Amino acid sequence: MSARSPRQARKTLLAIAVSAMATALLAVTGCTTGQAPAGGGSSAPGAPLESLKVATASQLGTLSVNQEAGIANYQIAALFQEGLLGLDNAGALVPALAESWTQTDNKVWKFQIRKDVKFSDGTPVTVEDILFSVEVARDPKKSPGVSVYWPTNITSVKQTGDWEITFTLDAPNNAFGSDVSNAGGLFVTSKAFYEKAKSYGSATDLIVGTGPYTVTEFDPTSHVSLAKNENYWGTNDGPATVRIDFITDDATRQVAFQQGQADVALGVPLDQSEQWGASGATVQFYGDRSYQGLTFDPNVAPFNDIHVRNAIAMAVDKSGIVAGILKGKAAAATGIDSPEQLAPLVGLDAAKAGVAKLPGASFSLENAKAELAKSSHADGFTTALTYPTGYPAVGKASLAIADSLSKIGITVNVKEVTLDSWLNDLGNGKAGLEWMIYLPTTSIPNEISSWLLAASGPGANPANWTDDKLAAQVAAINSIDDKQKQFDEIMATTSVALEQSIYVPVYWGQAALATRKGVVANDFGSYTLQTNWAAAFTQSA
Amino acid sequence: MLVVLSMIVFALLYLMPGDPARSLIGARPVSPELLASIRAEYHLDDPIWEQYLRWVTGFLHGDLGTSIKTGLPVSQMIQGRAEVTLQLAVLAGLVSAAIGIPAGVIAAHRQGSALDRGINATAVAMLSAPSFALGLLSLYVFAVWLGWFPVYGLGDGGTLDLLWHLFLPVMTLAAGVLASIIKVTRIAMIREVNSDYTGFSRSRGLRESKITRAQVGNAALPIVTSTGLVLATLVSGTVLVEVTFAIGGLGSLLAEAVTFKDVPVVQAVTLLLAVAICTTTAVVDTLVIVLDPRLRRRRRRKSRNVTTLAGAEA
Repeated sequence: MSARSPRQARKTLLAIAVSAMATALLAVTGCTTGQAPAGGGSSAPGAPLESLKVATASQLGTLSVNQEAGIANYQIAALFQEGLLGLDNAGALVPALAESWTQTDNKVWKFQIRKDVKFSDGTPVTVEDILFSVEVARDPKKSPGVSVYWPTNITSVKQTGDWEITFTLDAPNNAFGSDVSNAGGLFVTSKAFYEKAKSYGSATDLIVGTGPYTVTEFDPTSHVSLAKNENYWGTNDGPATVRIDFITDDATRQVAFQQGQADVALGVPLDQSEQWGASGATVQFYGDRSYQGLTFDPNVAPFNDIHVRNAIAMAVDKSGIVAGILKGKAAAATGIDSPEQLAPLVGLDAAKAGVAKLPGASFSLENAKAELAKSSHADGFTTALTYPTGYPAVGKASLAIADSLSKIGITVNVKEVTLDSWLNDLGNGKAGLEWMIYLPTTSIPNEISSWLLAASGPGANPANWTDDKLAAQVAAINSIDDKQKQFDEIMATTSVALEQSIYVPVYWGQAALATRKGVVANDFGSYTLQTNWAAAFTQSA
Repeated sequence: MLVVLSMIVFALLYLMPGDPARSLIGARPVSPELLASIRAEYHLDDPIWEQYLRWVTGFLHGDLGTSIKTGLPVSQMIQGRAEVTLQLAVLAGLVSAAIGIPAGVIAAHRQGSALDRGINATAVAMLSAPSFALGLLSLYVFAVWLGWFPVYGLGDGGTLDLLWHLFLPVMTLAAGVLASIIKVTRIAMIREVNSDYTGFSRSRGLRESKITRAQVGNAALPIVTSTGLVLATLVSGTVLVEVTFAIGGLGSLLAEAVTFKDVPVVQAVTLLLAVAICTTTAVVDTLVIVLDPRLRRRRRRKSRNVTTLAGAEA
């Protein structure tokens, strides 16, 4: 037998020890070695970046929002495709392919189309292209992702002038402007391109649009690259090129960001913001307008008893969930539509003041127990609560709620299910207690409550709730022009649902982004990602 | 076998709770008519046998169908990804064999030594560590701390750049398989090292390299057979590695498609992976015949018997 080699063995052990020490050291300090920052350019403060590199937590299967309408699809498409209208940074509707618009009784909507606009491939935009894009968007077979945004009561869509399109509805709809925006249901493309494309939205058929950028490369396995659209009708102060890398794993995205391989990281996990803020990076939070709350089906026992619903509402410690689970990076919800969603109506401060006045049960286990004693289930009962995979904070909130309810005699079996399964069970009439998680894309002030409060019976709302008077009141909001009056009505209708404990709002979410040292996100708010958001990032001082 | 597998996968997906049409819409209000229209587009309301038959007919005509999630042809979706996963798995297999077999041989030769214990301990550690943890550890050490390798992706350069980007994912994926090969090789070799013929050879003064060659030849059969089996696990191991290193391969596509209940994609990827596993097994079986003189002789004898019988009958 040959001689032993203790030297080699020592080397192996040393390598293991070095690796372990390195990991420990990195874990403690969050230290990184510097690489050249991804964004180039001079160092003038506030100057635009020459290039912007973004690391995002999402992955796109297709560029077509018509097909895949995830929030990331909307955000990326906002850079290269437009609707008739768009959103500004405050969520207000602004002209896009339509340079102006008028409406009569919220039923007849006329859009004056911008002349001399070209697609990114240099071909001129015609009214026919827009009408074709509308037709595609309304077709559920061609556009399963966005056709849901289109009202079913459109009686006609016509070209009514050389550069005018008129939509006629058979009932008032003051939110129709949002439906024809690229935050809602319209993404205009060239008819010739669409018909020629073998697989619209794929890497081989890069979508032709009219936005401030044009897609230069798309690899669904890794990234999408964009460059300034030379044919853009407006002004684009953003970087010349944008590259968005899909890095779904949080730890890998963090390492890549801290290594200087991205200027900006989107989807920073809220509970890890401190680690992301190391090495001079800045983490910024903004309300993402999402609603997370409990829904009761009042047709399912024991939730048909208002005392049971009240008792549960009283046992939900919203402030505790926000402080303990979300580390303060959310707001305890007192209503359904978030203040940021309602802000375009009355301003953020007035919206916050308005939702703060809404009726709702205060957290008190003592009161909850007393309320349950009044019900037909005074001794408690057992129920189930499911939450979808990919929403860990909702899962933790479910466990916190289950813990509180166990103290008043209600046993809640919390179960994680796939997103697909959770969506399928929404309002299925079998589960009496469910989560509602809703992330609006449009700036329609009552995008969420218009569905939750559409109390015209089973199937009309996720609670399968019937209240004809309320349903009529909610429908009437669509015809109100006065913004303050519209806001007051949204508050009034929301109050009815909260008084009856049909819904228990838990929290309005926040999202976080990180910018590397030397890059700043200017005036980044709840609607920025629906606009030309690449231009919001500039060099800092 | 592939037909049965496709049937089982199809049936399991059918039984899974959830509705892909609902997933396309998300948590948004939808009218029953619109939902029905989307379901009709993807034939989701058809009986299971009809859906399966439609898929099989398309498959036999070279059409893998259309993804429900992206609306794109499945063949287009898996094209680039299959290449990535294949590169990852083949390289990891080669690395595992190239390091694992010599390490196992060395450990067996120095049985009981510190080196043997070191190799064993490393193998146990690699075998026990979950690949995502190993991936993150290697990211922190070799990409962040030492800065030797990139953090994610496959790069935009040529072959060398690709290999540089693949190094950490390949090593992470190879770790578990490599450890198994070390253990199997070591055990097989110890039997040969302790055998009588080794003692006789040494007493007759044969060179150590010649003896080792004979030992490896005799131990080859169990090593190759076991290696073939563990190599098949490489394919399933790619899911976590692809996610950790942000490499879009078949593994991550399959995981996503299963979650979404994207039946055409799951079917295509599953079959592709099954074919890869069958091919690996076939290669291993052929290698076993080549390596084992007894099997070769038996095959030769059998064919000679057949020839003789045929001659007799004639």
